[in-house]
Amino acid sequence: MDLVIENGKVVIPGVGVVQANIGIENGKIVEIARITGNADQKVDAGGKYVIPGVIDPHIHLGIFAPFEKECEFETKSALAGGVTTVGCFYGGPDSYKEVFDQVVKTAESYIYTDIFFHLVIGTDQQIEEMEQYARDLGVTSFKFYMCGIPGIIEPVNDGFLLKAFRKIADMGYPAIGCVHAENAALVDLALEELRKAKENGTLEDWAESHPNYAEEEAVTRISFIAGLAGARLYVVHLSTKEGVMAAEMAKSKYDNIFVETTSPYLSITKFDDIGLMGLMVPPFRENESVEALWDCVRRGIIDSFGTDNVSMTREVKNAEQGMWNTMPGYPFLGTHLPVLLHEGFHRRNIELTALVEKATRDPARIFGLYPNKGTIAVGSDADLVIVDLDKERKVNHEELHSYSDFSLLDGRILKGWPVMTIKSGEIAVEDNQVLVKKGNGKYLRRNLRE
Amino acid sequence: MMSRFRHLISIEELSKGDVEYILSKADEFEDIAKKSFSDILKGKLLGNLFFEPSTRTRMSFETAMKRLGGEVINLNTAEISSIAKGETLADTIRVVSGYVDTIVIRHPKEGSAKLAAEFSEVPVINGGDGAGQHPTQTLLDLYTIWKEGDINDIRIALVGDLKYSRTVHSLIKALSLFNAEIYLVSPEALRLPIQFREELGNNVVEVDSLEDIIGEINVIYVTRIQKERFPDLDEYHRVAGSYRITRKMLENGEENLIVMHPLPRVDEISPEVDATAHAMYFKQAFYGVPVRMAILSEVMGYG
Repeated sequence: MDLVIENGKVVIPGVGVVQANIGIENGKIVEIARITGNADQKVDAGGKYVIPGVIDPHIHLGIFAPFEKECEFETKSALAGGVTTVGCFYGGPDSYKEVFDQVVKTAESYIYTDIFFHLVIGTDQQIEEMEQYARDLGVTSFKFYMCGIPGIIEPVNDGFLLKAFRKIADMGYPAIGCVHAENAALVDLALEELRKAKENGTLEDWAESHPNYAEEEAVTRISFIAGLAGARLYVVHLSTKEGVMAAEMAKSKYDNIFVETTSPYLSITKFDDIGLMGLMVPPFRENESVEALWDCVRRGIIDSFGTDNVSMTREVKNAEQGMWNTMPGYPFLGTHLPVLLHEGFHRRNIELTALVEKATRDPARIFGLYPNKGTIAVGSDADLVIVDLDKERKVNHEELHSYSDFSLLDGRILKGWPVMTIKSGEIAVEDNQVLVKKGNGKYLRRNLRE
Repeated sequence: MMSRFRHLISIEELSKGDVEYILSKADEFEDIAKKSFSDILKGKLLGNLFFEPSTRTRMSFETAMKRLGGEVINLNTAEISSIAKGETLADTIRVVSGYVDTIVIRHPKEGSAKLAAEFSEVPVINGGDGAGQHPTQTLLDLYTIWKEGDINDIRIALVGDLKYSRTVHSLIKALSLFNAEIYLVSPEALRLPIQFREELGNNVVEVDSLEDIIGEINVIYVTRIQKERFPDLDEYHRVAGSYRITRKMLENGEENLIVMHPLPRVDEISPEVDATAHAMYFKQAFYGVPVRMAILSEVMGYG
């Protein structure tokens, strides 16, 4: 064998914590056993936990900086933070047929992690081409904005959604529609009223711009539409108590609804002392929503954790120019796993295996990557993270490998950090030192089941 | 986490979704079923109540429980006869369910497991009750088919004693969930009882000989033809011999045709078959461990 990881507490989704060595050959896991054979290289996990490489199914690349630059720095940050696979939303008004190969080629030259894409569907032509995207480009997940972002993304209406979701239903597993669920008209009204009321607002004020009820209503509506079509639905970045409660209701009614929240929404409120650097869509909420999200993690209503990583510099963020001139977004990949461990495992006693399942296996299943990704099993890709649950580290953006010059968590002490990342059977990060080169990752093509 | 079911008494209680769930859980457990141990049932105790001997079922439950980090107490037939002197099954169950976290019961009398579930404070798993049910065997049979091919729309031949084999009866019910096409190959005296054939409707065909359909099927499921079913030994040898699976016979089968048997076998399958890729019965026996791990973790709320 090429590599054996010894003396670890292996967290296997669905199975629990296993005392075993992990044998790796040609980038794949070939053995999980108490006693393993000879190996060229051995890693002593020293009794620490070994988890599957984390999957962040929700990131954006190339929005506020060149695509290749963000591929490089954001996935490097991800890898150091224990994330070995990212799901990237990619969008534009035109057909993706001609450009996608180049996107993949560029990504593969710069990324440190593996990557899969969700394509934004916003035009009739794109609806018509969805099945070709699945068959020819290997993309089986599609993104829809019920509520846009002024000047950046146009929203789509219910008829458009039903039409698209019928196509998704026809494609079968693992085709899925990912939806930004907020009621556009209610958000427009709230924005208009807030503009009148506040010439210059705070992070707390910004929460009013996208009210909780706008999320609640849209979750109910998109669940109905997906249910009508019989399609699989993934509701992205739920941020409110009202939103997850609506999702819980919808899940009791329809099969195949999956729900995501983000590690930022699980760790930051609108009252935090981060100023407008924390401006985001949807906004940060009140404490009650954060606790409701964790409660839904505990009860299995939430299936998956993303970051919604949209990196940028302070200069681009432009927070000094006031609420109406501040760009939404922040880098978060480097702190994704530590936040889940600190806020979930340590502060809220979420069971480790359950937490790991939602960070690995469950998104892998939802998006058709399982069992190559998202678990520790014979035959799976050898993407593994050794985690020191007791390690405390103060967040400093300079140590997170992103090109960004801030982190919303700067100065916060988090408990629970990755100490080694193994990617495709190779030690890729050790003690926050990245040992592999850019272009280390690959594009993960997905196929429809016939 | 909520369990999908509290007790496991008969295969009919499970929906198709439940069955698929157990199969995929078992798949998750398979890697550690042989070489390692999980901790999810640490601190839990399983009571194996075997009112009749069954080495494989008992041992594989014990293995499964230990692979999940739990402990097992066994009450074997000798002990049971002494503690249960004059005691009703209901009382035995009441007492034992105060000791353990889950009970596996094996009993010669049909309906015993259901009765046990009524009086137990803890989950009860049926490890086979008389001519009644043996759901964990059925699930491991399904798992074998699922693992080694596609369980949907399979074509399967059931061979041997189709009259008395509860394994076959449970399997037939479960296979109907997956739209299987079933061929029945048995001696006249051991044909499938009429009520099962009626349940299956058009998806079942009785054939005279396995050779006629060997090229059409994905799975051969062989059961033991027992001596006791025949009035004289000569008749038994004649019949048993004509239902024996040989290597030559399999040469006309599909490349990925599998041969299954709940074991123990006597001479229904010629030993020369063991070395072929078709032979799945020993692997099938091993699959009993991950499947029982999935069932144990489910009833104890760790699904």
